[in-house]
Amino acid sequence: MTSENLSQDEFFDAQALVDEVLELTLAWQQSTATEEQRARLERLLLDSEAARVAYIAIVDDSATLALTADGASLCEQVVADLDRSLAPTAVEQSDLLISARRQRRGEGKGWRFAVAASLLAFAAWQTSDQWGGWLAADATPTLARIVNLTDVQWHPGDEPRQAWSELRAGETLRFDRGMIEVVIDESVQLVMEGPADLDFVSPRRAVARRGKLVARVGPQAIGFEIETPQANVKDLGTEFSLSVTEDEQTDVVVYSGKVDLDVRGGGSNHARRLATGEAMRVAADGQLGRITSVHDRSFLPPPRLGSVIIHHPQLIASVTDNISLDATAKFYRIVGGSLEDDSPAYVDRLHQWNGVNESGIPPFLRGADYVMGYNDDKVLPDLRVSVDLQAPASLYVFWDDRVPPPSWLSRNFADTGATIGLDEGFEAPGDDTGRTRGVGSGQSIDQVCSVWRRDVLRAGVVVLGPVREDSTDLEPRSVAASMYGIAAQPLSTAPNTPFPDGADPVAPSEAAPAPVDAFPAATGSNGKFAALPQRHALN
Amino acid sequence: MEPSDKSPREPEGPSSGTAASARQPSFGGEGSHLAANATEEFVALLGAHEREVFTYIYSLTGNWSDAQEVMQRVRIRIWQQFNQYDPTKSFGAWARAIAYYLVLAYRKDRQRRRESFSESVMEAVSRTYDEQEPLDDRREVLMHCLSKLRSDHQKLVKNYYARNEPVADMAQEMGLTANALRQALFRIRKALQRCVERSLTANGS
Repeated sequence: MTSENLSQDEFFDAQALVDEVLELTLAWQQSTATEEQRARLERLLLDSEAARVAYIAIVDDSATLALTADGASLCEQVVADLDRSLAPTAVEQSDLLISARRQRRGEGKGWRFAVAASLLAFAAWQTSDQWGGWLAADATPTLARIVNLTDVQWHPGDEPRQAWSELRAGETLRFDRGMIEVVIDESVQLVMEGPADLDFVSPRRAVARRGKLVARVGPQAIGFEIETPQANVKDLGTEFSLSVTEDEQTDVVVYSGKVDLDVRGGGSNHARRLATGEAMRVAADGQLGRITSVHDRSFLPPPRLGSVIIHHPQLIASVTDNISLDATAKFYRIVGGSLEDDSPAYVDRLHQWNGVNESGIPPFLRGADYVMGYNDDKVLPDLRVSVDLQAPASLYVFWDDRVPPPSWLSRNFADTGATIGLDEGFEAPGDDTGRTRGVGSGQSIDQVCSVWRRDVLRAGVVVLGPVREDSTDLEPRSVAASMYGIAAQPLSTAPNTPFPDGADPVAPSEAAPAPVDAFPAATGSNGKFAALPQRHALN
Repeated sequence: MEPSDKSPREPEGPSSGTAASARQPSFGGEGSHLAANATEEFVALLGAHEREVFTYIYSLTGNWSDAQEVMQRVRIRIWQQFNQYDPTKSFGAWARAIAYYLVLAYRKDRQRRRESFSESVMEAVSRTYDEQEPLDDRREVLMHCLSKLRSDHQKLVKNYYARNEPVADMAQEMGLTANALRQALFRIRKALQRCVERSLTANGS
């Protein structure tokens, strides 16, 4: 508000208004305002834009005075507090802090919050001298904060917690049902599903006695470790999921990044590093086993931002193959009812399925259950992939057009004439020299795949074959082909898609075939392939 | 560059479609994670707007410690929801929208409704925030005006805002009545406010 355009009377009226708002605001901020004063302030703010403008300026002045009261700029103060409150190694590891410091050095007039402090030192805010008399009454620092509770039933005898309540070192969360989301040390996001029992030992260690959980660990929390009855899982910068059944087993799934898995009491031969797309089971006796199928019923998916609707797979019960644990620890991820544009295609790549043009993926594929396989499989000549369907379904295979369709595909499936695109991305995140993906259909399509279909008239196992039947010594990434995609829709939603010859090769009158296995029994070449797994393989 | 899954004979780059360099989608989604560039983007945006968001929260709560608590929740929430932020729109406005609802939720949790503004007032104040210019210039001018105060007034202001104790407690320490201290603070703030307005007018703000 300025005096430039006001008459003298108007100016003095305006000034009187500002003075009144100032007096009332100070009383309110000092918690000394009477009911009458608060009502008066509310009335002014409701009725007068000038009063609101003045109020906002007054509040801003109060904040400025509070934040700079000891003479230092806020930014310097916060970074100093951060340096004091965090261990040197954590600070050095903190990309966020480094990034914020770069910003601070480059800032011009004015001041900025040290964003690293915002993100890394929420607890430090409460304890720094900057904020005056808000030292935590309890000397034990806050380790974690509960940020979300959904339908939680607490274990009898355990204290119910509220959203936004704090957890301190040594505290336990134990609940019999529901979901809890926790942020640890502002650098680890943890989602748990009950029944679960978790001890928060320190900012870098937790003990999980039972439950399902998924963790997203930021770069500043590398080394975060979860101990289970069977194993120690140490994060190396990941999103990973655990399923712990006390006295039975610990299952570990790595969605992104790496973890080190040590079998407790297992000796040196039971340490394993798992990377993106790999999973492993540690049994009660310390034996390692492969996990081939991962879906949302058995493992929590990676934490997502915002609200998420999880669709459980309705058609695809499991996917297994004939590759032994010695050769691979990779898993197939079964995603329920979610196929759409930008759906991730593989567990070991950043590639996405997309429509080849702006129309999007074929409508009959939208919302399908689908399988994220691993692209490295494309070089295995004896590969057999068993898809266990738990209901009649239209089974789809997305076949890379660069590769001639093999006989196992052309004999048992029909080309729908539709296509789906593959938008390729690199595995190394933030690799500026790599290929970036587009967003949405028709964007950045790198390969085109034909959509093949087979109608499976009753629940059962369908066995699919390899991409190439010849061996190669080339590294998978050098091979000009993509592992096929797999999707399933309920049989009734299959389109009346015209087949090239006008006849549906999988007519409903045809007797439902036995599990389709048109291939010779798997060979045991180089010990790479195990015997063809039974229908209900480890999952 | 890591080789891609394509024929070496094919040209580099996408074979069709627009090679749109998009923000990494779906933070925390299946098989993906927050790319380093998105993290830096978040850090930059939060750094540029956090002060403004905090002051906004303070204007709605009127209580410093409540504002701190809500600000912590806002940081977490905007971090969690960052993939929903539309970069073509104002980050500050988006963050304030989230903050608004967290203030409401906080009031309900702590049963602070009686001491808080009504929702009508909150909405009115929020609208004015959306319409007005940033206050960066004002903050610099305020610090300059503060330096022009008498030294004992400067000390009083700094002491009060650094410690942020109840007025009655500070007054007792200083050998004043609570009312005398309140009046002193009001007069000093009024002087500062006049100085700021004059300076901003002189600078054409």
